[in-house]
Amino acid sequence: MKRFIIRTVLLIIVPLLLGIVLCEYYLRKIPNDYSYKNEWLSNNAGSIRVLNLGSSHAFFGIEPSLFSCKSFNAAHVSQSIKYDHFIFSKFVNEMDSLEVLVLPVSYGSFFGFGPENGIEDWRVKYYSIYYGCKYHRFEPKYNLEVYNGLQFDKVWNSILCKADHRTCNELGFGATYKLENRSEDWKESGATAAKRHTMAKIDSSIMEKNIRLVGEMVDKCVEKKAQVIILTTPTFHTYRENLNREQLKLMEDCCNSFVEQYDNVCYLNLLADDRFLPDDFFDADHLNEFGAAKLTKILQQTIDSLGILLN
Amino acid sequence: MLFNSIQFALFLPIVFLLYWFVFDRFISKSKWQLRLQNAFVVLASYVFYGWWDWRFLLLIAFTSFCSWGSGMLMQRVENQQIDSNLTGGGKSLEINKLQRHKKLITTANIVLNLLILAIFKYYDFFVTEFAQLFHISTDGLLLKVILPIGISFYTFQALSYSIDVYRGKIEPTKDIVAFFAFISFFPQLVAGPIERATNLLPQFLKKREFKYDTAVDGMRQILWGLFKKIVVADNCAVYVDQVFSTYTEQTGSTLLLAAIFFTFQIYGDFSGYSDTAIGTAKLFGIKLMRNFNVPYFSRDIAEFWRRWHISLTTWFRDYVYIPLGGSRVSKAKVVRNTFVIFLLSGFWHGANWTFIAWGAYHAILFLPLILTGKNRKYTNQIAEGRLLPKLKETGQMLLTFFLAVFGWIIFRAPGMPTVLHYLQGMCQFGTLRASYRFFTLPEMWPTNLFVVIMLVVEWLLRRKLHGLEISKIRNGWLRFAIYYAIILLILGSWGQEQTFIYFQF
Repeated sequence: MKRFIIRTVLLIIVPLLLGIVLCEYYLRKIPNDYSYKNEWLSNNAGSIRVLNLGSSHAFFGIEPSLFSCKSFNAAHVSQSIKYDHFIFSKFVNEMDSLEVLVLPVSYGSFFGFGPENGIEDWRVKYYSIYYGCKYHRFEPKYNLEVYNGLQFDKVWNSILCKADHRTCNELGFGATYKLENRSEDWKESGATAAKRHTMAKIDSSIMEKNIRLVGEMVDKCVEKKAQVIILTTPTFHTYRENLNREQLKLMEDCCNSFVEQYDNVCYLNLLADDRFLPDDFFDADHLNEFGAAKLTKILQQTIDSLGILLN
Repeated sequence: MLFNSIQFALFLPIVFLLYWFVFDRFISKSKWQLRLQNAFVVLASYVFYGWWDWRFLLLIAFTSFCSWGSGMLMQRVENQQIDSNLTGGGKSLEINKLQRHKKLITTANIVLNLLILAIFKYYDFFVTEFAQLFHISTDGLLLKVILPIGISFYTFQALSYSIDVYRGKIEPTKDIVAFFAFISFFPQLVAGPIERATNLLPQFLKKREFKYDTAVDGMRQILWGLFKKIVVADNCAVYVDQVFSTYTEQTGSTLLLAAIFFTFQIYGDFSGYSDTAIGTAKLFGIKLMRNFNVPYFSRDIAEFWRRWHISLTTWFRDYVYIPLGGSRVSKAKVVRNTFVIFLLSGFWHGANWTFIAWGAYHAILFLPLILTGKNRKYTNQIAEGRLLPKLKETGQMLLTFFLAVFGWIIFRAPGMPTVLHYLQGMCQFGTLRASYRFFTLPEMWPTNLFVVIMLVVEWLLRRKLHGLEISKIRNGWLRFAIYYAIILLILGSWGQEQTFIYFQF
């Protein structure tokens, strides 16, 4: 038996583990949005005056370079309030210049608790690996790049230093949703996206957790004398018309309750804003580069109207 | 826990080391050694199963206990029978009564086990169908319970024990721990092979010995099983799922190609599981029965059924077909018996008309062979002593393969309307360009290649027990080069772990 174990360990397990470790190392070396944003925030948190969080709606919808002051887009695709809270909490103590926190809240934001166990749960590991998030410390699925396969092509490109998986620009804006790339049937995506974002049953405990997390972020902003803009990004009518009225009202009521509760919070609900024309959309619930410029301008005007000093 | 998961990659070596070093070596002088080792097998198996849902462990324990208990009761009746023989000199009335008792115990155990199976697997189906037939609402009538993984497998295994004890093929065991290990042995607990008590139970009643060659062969078989599952089946699944979910938009030739790919997917998936299970069992000194024997190299459908899911086919043969009279009855009864086993075999897979239709389809293919006495025409291996098959054999193989392909369309579809639409779509052949474009996409090439590798290897090694039985290759470097190539293919194809198709049965 000793012979079997020694041969298995030496000839199979050790080379295998070594190979896996090397693949993990090279996969982690490939720059991506998560590693980039974490590094940027680690180096520049102190100088940010407008911080934007949120999911893909904000990632492709807010272009920080169009603000009149230093801003950064820390949104990621499928980022939930839980991970907004995580990123905010990680860097807030270093954000000495923070004046405005833009906190996008979408139709489904309050009713889900992270991409875990959904079709987007492969993104969770990026928070663990690149942001150092410890929510799932002992789950290999949420801590290893190789968990989704060794991806030899990517490893090889990484060894050759050819790989770069960043899709955001230097200020974190997702610049890949362009009008020219829009699919022909973009309007039809509204119904499926609305269905995907509608909960079969609303779990009040999840909602309460999310409300608590938003409350904690607002409290911290009160402490730092920063303003919070809760933002619902514009959507195309094919998306809006397929939303569940009850869930939508619940979401809007939650946002409004923060406005009533706190002096430093305002709610900018652009869900059905008619300033956004069909050519501002990439699909039924995401903006393209033109829509993003328009949304950022509206945000700037809102900040100006609030009388916040941004020089 | 899935065989293709990180959890299992950690679980297996831990269990292996504890099994051989703690429960075999360090406590070898204790009279409890075997029992403790079996108890450890039960514990490890329950952890393996409980990883998915621990609540259903009670169901396995209950099924195990009932079957063990029925054996013990039959033993008691047997003892009474012997006493009565000794004291009364063979009072036939008394003996008949005791025989009836044994029958009653076995029947009760069978009914109880099938009742559990029926409640979990078939109740909602029957209620829904009944309600549809009589236009009744199902509100409040459906149980909507989750189907416990592997329930059909371990239930049938438990039943085989009870029936074999009744038939006197095996002595009932008093060792409850060994019996629980026999039912729950983790490599084959959730997707077979459905073991017979006559083969597996005695192995838990005696000390296992570690054999280097068996363990190495087990490792090879695990590797081959994972290759078939992760490299072949999971890669095929990507395209099969894509086509089956959009079948209304696909051309006839694309639908046919997707059905062919599903044929390889289900084989890779299920035979891959069986190989991994058999290989894992070998590491623990346990020999499980063979479940697949290169079924796609069959020359007729009867041969196909002798090579596909052997443990289930032989189960139905021994416990249903032969008791019904088998083929040694009138032709009308042969027709009945053939339909009974194929329909039951289809229904065993799940509560859906598609499975029943699949069973009926195979019964129709099988009937001409059995009625003309040609069902055992091909019992040897194809192209015996030759590298390549003859032209006639190739034609027979292709015909059998395509008959199986059509069967798999029925099997794969979610409902009968889909089957009809799919077959209708296949008849509208139209242009081949779309399917040519689809299946010659650069990302399709690896999948095509993997299927070819599997077929070539299994053809070359068709007389062996599995596709990686390469102990005759004396050159160690070459052997290890083959292992590493397969490991790299497995790791390269390994993504999010995909569940096994047969888990749902």
